[in-house]
Amino acid sequence: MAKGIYGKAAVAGIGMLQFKRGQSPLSERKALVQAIVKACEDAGLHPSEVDGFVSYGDDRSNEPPRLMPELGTKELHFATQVWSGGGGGLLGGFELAAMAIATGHAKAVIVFRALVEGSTGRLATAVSEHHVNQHYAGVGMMAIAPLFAIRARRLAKQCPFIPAAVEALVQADYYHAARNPEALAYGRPFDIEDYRQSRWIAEPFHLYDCSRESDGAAAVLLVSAEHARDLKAKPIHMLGANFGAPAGWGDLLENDEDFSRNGFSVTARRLWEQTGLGPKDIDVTQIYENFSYQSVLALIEFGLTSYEAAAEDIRFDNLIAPSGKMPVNTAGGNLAGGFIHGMDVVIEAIRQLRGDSANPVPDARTCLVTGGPGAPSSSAIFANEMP
Amino acid sequence: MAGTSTDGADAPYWANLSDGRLSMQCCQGCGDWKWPAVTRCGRCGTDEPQWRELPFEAVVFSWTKVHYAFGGTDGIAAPYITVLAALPQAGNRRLFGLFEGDETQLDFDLPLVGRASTTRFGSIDIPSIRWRLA
Repeated sequence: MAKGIYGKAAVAGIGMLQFKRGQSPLSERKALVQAIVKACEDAGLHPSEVDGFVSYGDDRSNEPPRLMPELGTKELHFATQVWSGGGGGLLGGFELAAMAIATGHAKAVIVFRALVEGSTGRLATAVSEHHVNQHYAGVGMMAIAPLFAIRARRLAKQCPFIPAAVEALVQADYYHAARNPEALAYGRPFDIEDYRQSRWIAEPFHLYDCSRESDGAAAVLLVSAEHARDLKAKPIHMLGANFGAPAGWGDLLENDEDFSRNGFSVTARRLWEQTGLGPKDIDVTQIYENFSYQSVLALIEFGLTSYEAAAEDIRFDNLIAPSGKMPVNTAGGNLAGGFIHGMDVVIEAIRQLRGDSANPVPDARTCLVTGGPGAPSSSAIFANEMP
Repeated sequence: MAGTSTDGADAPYWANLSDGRLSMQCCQGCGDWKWPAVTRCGRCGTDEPQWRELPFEAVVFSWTKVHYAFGGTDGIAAPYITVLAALPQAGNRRLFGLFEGDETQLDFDLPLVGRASTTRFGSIDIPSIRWRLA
């Protein structure tokens, strides 16, 4: 396995603007441009120097050449996005950015996602349009929530510990969000009974099993590790990132191989191969959450715990910073923090490793980030020093 | 909507279901049941796997009761139950259907029988299966 991008690229800047869904005072374009400019200011790099752009998840509105006049782009060398309609491509975008930087095809690459309902409609609708066909429409499966609910019910049958693990994850998300001023659920007291009593969306999903779709934009600036040393912000190194799916997974009309797994096997294996690290080397984890049931499986499929030990390990007090042994989603995750199609969890990974998190994990050196569940998926490891 | 065409690999499925018959693809080269329908068997390389007619018989693989009226479900009054049914006679490949009958008895692996029906979607009627407990 090539370690071609190992440590080659580093995050030099981050920028995010997040609002409640439907309440952005900015158009999607304006929010995105501001997020990119913020990421550049964070790094001390002029926005006109950005020469590469990557997105994912079917961004149909923010084609990079259209951004050039507002950023003053001097030269554009790299503009692409990852196939797949959902957040499976999240860290695939970082893989592509690092490849472009490592090969010299681009020097300063922005990975971005922007969503403003007033400009481009609901994210849920866009993702559904990507997946839904006549087979689904004929049986009321017009959104991803009921599709994942069907998978979740089967998952819970095969793994009886899952509902309790889900409650622990939801509670940890809301615990962190309550303490994070930038989270949508900031300051909100949350009791597990709130979760249990909340209305059904599609059984077994309650309202609080579903991500909090946000308005806003997020941008992460990557440059070479050498370049990052000369910029303003503390470089956060990208040790590995990849995208992929195993056999038996894909867009298969719910004929994916085994719903007690989530198609993470290929990306997890390659991540350890790329980085030479293992689950024990991970200090903190940010999990992409579209829905709680599938997301909690990431902890198992990436080996932070096992099917056998999950009931013991995936407990609220284990998942929270600063005291938990396996801290996750320290900004509140996509369930309670916010959901710009998952970019929130990458932004939090960088903040955590810079020491800027609202819920710091003491001495955290490495952060695992996992992409959308249900293959293809993706993952990455960031570090605040090279191991 | 993605993949709504009736001239794709699954065209025979839609034509047969409109006619009240259930059919799925089984590769004449290696015997593997295919779903979703394909133009080539990825296992053995045979082109155009054959269509075989099947009885409307399955077992419950999973299900959800949908409470939220998602856009595009106007033709189905919420709450409704969608079943993912595994067909033992088709290599346990899974097909969707709407559930009808006594939901209090619904459970994993119970046998189902089905019938062809249609679901109103916008201005069209989409052929779809109704499953009930056998």
